[in-house]
Amino acid sequence: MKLAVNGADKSFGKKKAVEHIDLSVEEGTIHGLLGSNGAGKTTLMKVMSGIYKADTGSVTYDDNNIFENPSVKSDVIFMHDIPFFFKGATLKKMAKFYKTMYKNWSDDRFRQLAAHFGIVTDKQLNQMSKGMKRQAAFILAFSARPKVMLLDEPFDGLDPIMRKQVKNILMQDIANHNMTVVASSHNLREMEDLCDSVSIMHDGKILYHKELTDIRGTHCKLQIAFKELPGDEFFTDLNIVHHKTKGRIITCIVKGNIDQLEEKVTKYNPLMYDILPLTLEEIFTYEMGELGYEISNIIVE
Amino acid sequence: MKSQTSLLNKGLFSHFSGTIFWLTVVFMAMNIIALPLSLWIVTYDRDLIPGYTMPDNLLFQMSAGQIIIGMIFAVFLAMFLLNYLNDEASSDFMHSLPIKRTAVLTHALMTGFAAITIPLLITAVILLLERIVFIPEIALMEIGKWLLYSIFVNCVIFLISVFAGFLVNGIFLHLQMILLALFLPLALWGLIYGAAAVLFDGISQSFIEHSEPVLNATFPYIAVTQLYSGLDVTLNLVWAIIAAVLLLLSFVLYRYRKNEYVTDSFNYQWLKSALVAVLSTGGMLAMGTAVSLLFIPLSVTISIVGFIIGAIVTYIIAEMLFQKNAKIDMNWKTFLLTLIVIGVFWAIFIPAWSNYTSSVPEASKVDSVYVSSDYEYYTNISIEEYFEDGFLYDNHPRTIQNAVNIHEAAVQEKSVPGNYSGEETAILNIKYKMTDGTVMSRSFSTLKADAPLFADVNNLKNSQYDINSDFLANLKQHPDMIDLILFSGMVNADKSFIDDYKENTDALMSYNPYIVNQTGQVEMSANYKNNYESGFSSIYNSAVLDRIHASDISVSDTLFLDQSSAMYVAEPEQADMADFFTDYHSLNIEELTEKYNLKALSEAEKEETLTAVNNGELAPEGNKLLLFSYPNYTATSEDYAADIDFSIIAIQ
Repeated sequence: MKLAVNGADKSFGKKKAVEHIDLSVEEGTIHGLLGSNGAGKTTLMKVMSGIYKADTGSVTYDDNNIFENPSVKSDVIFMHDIPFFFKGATLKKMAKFYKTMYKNWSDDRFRQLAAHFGIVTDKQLNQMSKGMKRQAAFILAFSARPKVMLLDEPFDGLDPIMRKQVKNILMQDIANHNMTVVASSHNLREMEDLCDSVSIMHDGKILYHKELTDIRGTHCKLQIAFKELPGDEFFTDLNIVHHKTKGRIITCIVKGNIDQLEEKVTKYNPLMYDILPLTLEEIFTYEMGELGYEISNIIVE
Repeated sequence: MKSQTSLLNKGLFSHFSGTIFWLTVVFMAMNIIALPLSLWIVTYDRDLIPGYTMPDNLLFQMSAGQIIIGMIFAVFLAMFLLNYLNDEASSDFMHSLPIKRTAVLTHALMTGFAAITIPLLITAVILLLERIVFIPEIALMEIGKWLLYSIFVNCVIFLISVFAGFLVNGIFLHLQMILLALFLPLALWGLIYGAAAVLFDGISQSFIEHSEPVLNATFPYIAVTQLYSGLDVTLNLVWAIIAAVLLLLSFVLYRYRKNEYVTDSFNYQWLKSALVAVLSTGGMLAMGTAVSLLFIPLSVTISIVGFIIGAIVTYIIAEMLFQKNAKIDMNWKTFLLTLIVIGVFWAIFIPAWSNYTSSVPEASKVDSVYVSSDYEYYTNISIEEYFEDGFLYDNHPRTIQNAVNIHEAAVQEKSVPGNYSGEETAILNIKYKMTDGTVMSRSFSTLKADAPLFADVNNLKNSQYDINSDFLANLKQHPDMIDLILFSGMVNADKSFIDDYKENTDALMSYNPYIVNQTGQVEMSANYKNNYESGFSSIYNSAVLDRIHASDISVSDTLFLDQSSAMYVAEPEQADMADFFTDYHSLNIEELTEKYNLKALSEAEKEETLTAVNNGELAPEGNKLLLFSYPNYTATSEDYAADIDFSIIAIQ
């Protein structure tokens, strides 16, 4: 399902928590919603899941509005940052409840995932650890086989192995069922290897929205050492958009045709050089810097 | 087929019913204890009681406890079913599910209705079995009526409670809203009435008389009282309509509910401000009235301080409760609104009650009047139900004009209650039945006891026998009447005695009005299925004397003459009769003896008098009066009026 947020606003009294958001997420992709605490990510996720009604604008899935629309909601699962389970409920009881709610629920998948994660289905969920609850929430969400998953800080509380496993299952569902995922996080590195596209939210607005493949295809990091530092023509010739100089070593972000970069670099007789892909943080350092924002002010590790 | 495609969702039902399962079990258990078990215990040994007859509506009378338990259950039911709305996590989860809000509410309501109905049905089945095995007197129809009424009452309370749940977020706040919805009008009216009674003289003593609309707006009250007074179809229909409207409004409020405000205590800030303002006004009245009761004799200023402190304290407490925090945030809008409401309240309260207590009707608009300088024994409801038209009320134009004059004098002479002047005060009650069918009641308690108007009150009655105040002369042949109890419980009589008494009242009208009004009054009672009424009638009525002669008691027994230790005979002249009775109420026995030459009877004379009285030798047409002390009388030097220790009977 294709998700489209068109001009959505959400206010809490006089405070605008989400301001004129336009966002489009293609079917079968993962979109990362990044931003510091209080940026408006969770509010936007709740608007996207139909919990809140947008004050203005709309949230549609394949052109169908989600608010108070069970037929759309049955294909969309929202996983809260703190998983919610009924008081005293076990995973089995929650599964029974989910089964009556979500039309694509798979008992087989539930059994497989419960066994895979090693969760005791008869134990009260509220007595489990934070990580176990998170795993239980993922088991329920994956077993419901939604077309869209909205994940609010999904990896909080999971150990690295579990994160990897969850990410793998997520990827499988995207590959096999063309599932669409929107995941919010305040952690850039967490989303590094996961997202096809990302948005950065700050003060209720989306400051930046881009496909990561586009960025990675047009930008790279160049670390280069010289006997003598080159002149300004080096920066303009290589189309360097951001650089740091330390002694005779320059670390820079280069925009443009990466295939021809090596040829251009060798013209300046470097002692040595290395061309590396950009990390998300570096992309944002550059992009946000261009927009006039300091990335460290927006995304806190 | 998966249930999410059907109209009702099994999972949601299962969730809601699981939430209230144990609560329902407790309700059912308490239901069984409160009704079938209690009924069995009450009627268990009825065969051992001779002449025991089971009241027709015993089931309804016994179900008061069960109805109250049911209402409390319905409140908790709504609170727990809607508890998912009170917490951000549960609210978000429930509203992220693929089910419409209206459907969620429908499921919650249906679960609630089932939880109300199923235990009551089980209780009804137990009652049916009980009827078959132990208590055949309970009619099948009664059980059916009880079941429907119980379901109705619980459902109305449940729907009121559900509606209240959409106004706030928080289970404790929800409970507060329910209590306010159910009892705020009554509590507020009670406080207004209480404050008015403390600050103004001339207000009716009977709170109930002025409170019918408010009591009718208090559903728990009318739900219980109908068990005794019988079901009021119109009133129940009105409440059914109110419940239906609240149900509809609940859906509307839920539809437009903003989940993002789940962390706010109130979904509508204006409601919080309005409630704080109203509660502050109520608290102001409560504390102000309490302080005024204690301090008005000393200082009006202290009373005013009491009102101000009451308002401030209640404002703070209301804000604490409504903000769910002892550390409250001051909201200037709420504060200003509270000040305005309090200001408007006093601006209406003082002139309205001043006008109320000072208003005197035009004689031409009065149909009949009842004036009394004694405490009120009857409510308008009991007068209408059990007595003939005209009981207590006199429709003679002269009496009406005199009553209006007395009322005007009382308005002029009244002062602030509690403003103790050191002089003895007396009570004056005036009730008018107006020509338009309304009733106007006023009670004064600050009038000086020796005020001339009280002499006028006595004169109102002394032109002839006060037949309007005679209990038996005005008693209806009510279908619920079981029997009559004469002479403070000494003799029982059936309903036919009422007719016997009424047939012999003409003679009473021909007797000396002072004597027949102020002597020979004996207590009579009527026993009803659900009620008990009592009053005074004349022993001079020949039917009464015949009844005594036919029984195994004597006239002296009925008057406790045989237990009298001191007797005097007085023979005032006809012209002095009014003064004599005025003095009887004000002078002590020694002063009365001296002034009217009372003759103290010797032991032999007492015996002789007793015999004569027991032979029926009473003479209300004459002027010979026997003053006899009440039982356990001992002569004291204290300055009591003679009427405290002595009664009077007219003898031959």
